Amino acid sequence: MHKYVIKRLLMLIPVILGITFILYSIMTLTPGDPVRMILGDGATDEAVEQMREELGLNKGFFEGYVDYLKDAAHGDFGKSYRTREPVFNEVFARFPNTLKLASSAIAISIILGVLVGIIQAVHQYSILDNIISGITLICTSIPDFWFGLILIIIFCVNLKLLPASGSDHWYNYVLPAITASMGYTAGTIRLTRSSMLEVIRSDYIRTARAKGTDERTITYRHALKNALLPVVTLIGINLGWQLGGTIIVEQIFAIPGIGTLMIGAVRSKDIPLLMASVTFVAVLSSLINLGTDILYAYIDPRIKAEYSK
Amino acid sequence: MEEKLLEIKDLCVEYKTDEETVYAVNNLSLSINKGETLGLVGETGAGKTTTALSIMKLLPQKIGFIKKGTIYMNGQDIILKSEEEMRKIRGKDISMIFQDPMTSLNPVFTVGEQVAEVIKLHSEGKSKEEIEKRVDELFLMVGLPAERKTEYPHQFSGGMKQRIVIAMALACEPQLLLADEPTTALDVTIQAQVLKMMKDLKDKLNTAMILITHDLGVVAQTCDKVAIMYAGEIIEHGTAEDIFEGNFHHPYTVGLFGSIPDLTTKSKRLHPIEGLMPDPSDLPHGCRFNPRCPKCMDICTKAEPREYISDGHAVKCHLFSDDSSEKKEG
Repeated sequence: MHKYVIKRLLMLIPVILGITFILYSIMTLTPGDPVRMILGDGATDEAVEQMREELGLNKGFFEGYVDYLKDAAHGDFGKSYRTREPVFNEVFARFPNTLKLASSAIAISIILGVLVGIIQAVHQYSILDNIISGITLICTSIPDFWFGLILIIIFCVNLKLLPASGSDHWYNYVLPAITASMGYTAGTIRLTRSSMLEVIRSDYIRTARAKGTDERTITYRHALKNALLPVVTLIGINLGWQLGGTIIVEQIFAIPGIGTLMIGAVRSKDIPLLMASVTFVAVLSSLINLGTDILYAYIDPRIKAEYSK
Repeated sequence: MEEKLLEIKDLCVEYKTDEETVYAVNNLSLSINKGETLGLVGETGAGKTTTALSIMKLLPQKIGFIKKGTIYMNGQDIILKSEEEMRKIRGKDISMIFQDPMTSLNPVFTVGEQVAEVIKLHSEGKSKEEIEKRVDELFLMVGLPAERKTEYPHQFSGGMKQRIVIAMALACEPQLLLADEPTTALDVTIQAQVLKMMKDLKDKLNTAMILITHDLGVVAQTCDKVAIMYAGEIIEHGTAEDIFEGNFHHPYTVGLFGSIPDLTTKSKRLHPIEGLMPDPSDLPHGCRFNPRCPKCMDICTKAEPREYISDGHAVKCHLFSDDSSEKKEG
């Protein structure tokens, strides 16, 4: 198991190298000059040249990339072109907001998703099952931005219950979390339902019934643990997505998170800031994937045996 | 020994789906005494498993229905019991061993936990240590080292898994054991081991057993009584001697024996029974076997035969109806 974890952690190195290289290529090879963007159209050629020197943009393509990696290896990821601050100051200032939004959205999707999914599976083909299936279909089809705006109209404009923007208090996150979680919750419900239905039909559930086990124990003990595997995968993927920042939700509710930070960096061609934030998110996603895979081993002993090979 | 344990009368089971109704078991009657072994033999789809599931009342929900009949276990009709009462019977008075040991154990719990669960369910007031002790005993009884109870199903071979399933089924010393093709999924050497073990344990605990199989060799080795099933009915039943050595048989039984390859005579081909089992949603009129019967008569397509009994050996066939009393006495 330890060996497996170490192996997976070492695999992060090529991932990071790949991501930084692709980002660096895109940012340097596409048209648009960050220096001109910063100084504006009226800047003199000398000023531009001087700034270019300062930011290290006068180097060749490969030289620039290698230098970036060298500095990064020493913990220096560069300074933002705009704020002139070390880039990770900015990233770490923004990240808690994204983390709060992501964790509450995912928590909603886990609790509601798994619970409703189980209820649906147990009452397959009932009226309740059909109604919930209809609702989840609608929820997966509704776009975030529309749903967010509708929530704002109802709860902020008409009922005046919750604020439409901000990130200082817990109640600022209620509407964004609901908006962000809607699609994930619907997905989790659908997957839990189908996964449970598959497991409930299996032979070992019949064995459990033949032992005289009651339905509740069968559902929540015998079936759920087996049905959770694909659901855990989905939740892991969702969490990865969420932590990468939901640009739309952050924009609608004016939450200063990672998503808006990245968009800003792309617009102003702030190369060090963008590379730092994207790499950070990528590493985080990889770690969540690893966490999901480790969690598998605790759910299914067969996978644990596979890992220790 | 002659005390009746289970008596099924006129059992009819149907599977209903949107498209069709499948008549899986039709007017089936059988009985079994305490400690006895009954072999239920028939082709795939004859309704053997359905009969067993009806006794457990574990027919697939919302699809399988007991339409008619009574199932008396120790003088009480199981069909009238509530789900809660049935839960107390399952695993304690009646246990079932399923066909495929590879899939009958839950992959995410240790085998020890799974065996302990039955004991926990049916013996209130037993302490953890007592339960664990009983699990160890059971493992020993089925010939597995008790230390292996902390392992998971995937760490065992098929034969070992079936031993665990048997340990689970016998944990509460049931009065009746339903064994649904317990050896079909195992290879032949393991089959013999498992069968011998089941027979020994059954004798030791004085458990009655219904052994469902399509393997006549297995029946010859283990059963006191035999019932042959075809298209949801029992078409012949009697003691093992009646079936294997008796001199009057249902043509289907004759066909079954005829299809066993004989090692002493040279033969290039196998001798199967011609044709296929009838579609259970559209059973033939009269005798269900008539389309495949080599001795089919006019009356067979018109009227359903009744049972002709001689000395406990019953055959449901028109061949033995009127003037054929000599045949019966044989």
